[in-house]
Amino acid sequence: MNTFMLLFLLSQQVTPESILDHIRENLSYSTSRFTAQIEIRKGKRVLTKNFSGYSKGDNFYIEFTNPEDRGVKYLKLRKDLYVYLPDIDDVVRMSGDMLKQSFMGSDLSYEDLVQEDPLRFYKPTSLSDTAIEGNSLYVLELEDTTGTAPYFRIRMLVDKKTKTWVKEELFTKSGRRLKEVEALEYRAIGGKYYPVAIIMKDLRLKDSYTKFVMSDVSFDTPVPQNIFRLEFLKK
Amino acid sequence: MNLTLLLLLTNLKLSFDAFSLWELKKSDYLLLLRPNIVWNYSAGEFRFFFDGSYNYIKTRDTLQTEAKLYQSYIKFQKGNFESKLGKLVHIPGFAGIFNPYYKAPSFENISTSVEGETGIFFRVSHHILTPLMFLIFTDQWKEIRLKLQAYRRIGSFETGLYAEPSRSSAFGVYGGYFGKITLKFQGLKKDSIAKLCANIEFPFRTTITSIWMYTSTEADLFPLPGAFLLTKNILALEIRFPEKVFEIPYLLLFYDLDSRVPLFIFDYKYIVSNNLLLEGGVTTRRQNRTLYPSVYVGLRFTKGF
Repeated sequence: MNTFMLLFLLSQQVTPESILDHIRENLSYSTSRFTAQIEIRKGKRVLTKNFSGYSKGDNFYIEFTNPEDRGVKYLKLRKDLYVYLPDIDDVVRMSGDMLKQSFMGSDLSYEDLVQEDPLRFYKPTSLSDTAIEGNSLYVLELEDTTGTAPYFRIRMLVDKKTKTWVKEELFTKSGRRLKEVEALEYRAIGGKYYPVAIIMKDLRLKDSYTKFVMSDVSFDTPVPQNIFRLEFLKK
Repeated sequence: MNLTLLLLLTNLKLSFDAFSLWELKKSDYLLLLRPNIVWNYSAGEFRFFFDGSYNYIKTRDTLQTEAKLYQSYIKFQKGNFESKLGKLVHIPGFAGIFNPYYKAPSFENISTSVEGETGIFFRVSHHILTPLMFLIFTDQWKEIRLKLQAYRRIGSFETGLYAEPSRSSAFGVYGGYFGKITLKFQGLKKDSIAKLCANIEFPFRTTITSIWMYTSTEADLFPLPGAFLLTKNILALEIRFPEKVFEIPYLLLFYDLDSRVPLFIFDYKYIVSNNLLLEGGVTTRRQNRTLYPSVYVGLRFTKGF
């Protein structure tokens, strides 16, 4: 075997870092524009909310479009969260800690909803092989190295062919399994292979889940500058 | 303009509220039935807003029926400038219980509502300072009152000034820090009366817990469900559960420092669907050192278009 062949094989070797890099590349974007629906289910009861919005970096703008909440808008600017309430036509500032709280009562937090590069806090700690229902998968374990990630540890099942995650388990620092996320649908968008439909289960709650479906999404396209201004919320 | 485009720009919300409160010791009751309509229409720089209802209120001794207009205004906004004309709600300082500049219900449930004032409102938003002016017409437009406010947001801080120059001398200062915990204070000096409200809010387990302190040099009225609390000094503990979606508890404990009487409101909302909300609760009020407990139930059916 010549040296070139050896170097080629080494470059093709799958490492935890290379898989994480591939996943991050698919999930990272500088700007986004989206229309989405969130379905919150508990037992037989379902709440459905529709919204559209933009994101730039870690900042986001969301406007609800379902009739019951229409006109309610959220704006995240750096560490601050603002809510526009149409009934009083004014903007209410929320505490910064609200970002860790549930988004409109769903299993998703505000931080889960929109992030420029959600896996940037993590380093891989292990990689192994598994197979579920005939599908060959990697089990990738990630750990927060910055102390600022929403979850301390992530256990990820990654499709070997597409190198995209199919299921995530999110853990606290004490090792408690907090949430489970499953990718329901991937779509090719602007050179990325992105999960446009996910289902998230908060394992502390019985018979409940949140389904998040993006019907229209684009990445790294220009967003209107005035969207990320407080005055725009009152428009 | 075709109908589809009109519907896209319009938000019409119809709701029906039914609420009943029983005072257990006196066998008093209150029944409220209220169909409500909220209409919101935007066209370019303009926005029209209407919020009104027809109220049927029955107590043991009285029956009251009335059409109620809470808000009705036209708004113009271009860039940083906004102006509103009509009947509108403006809450100076920080919205919430014990706001010394705006007398809102201490707690929001199906029976509560906020009613605007008629006038002209101007605001110019700027990152250095946002000034606003609210000219209020009262006594069938014969009397004019002026409310002025200016505020600034710097990072996690927000601070502001409030004044009512046309009504003797009312001057207020407020400030807040919004970080992992939230700290707020709001002060008002109105004629010879001074009022101060301080609040610390922090996450505790799955709750947002708030501790409130309110002090005034003269006794003040605080609306509670079905009653009023008249006092000068209050300590309060408010516990909200932001992670609850379908069954939402809420607890507000008051301690009246003057009479040394504790009071409370416990509320429980049960969301059936996007359109239907059920609510129940227990509250207490004090009269001549006697505590009167009350229970209430309500429902709100909402249909949006």
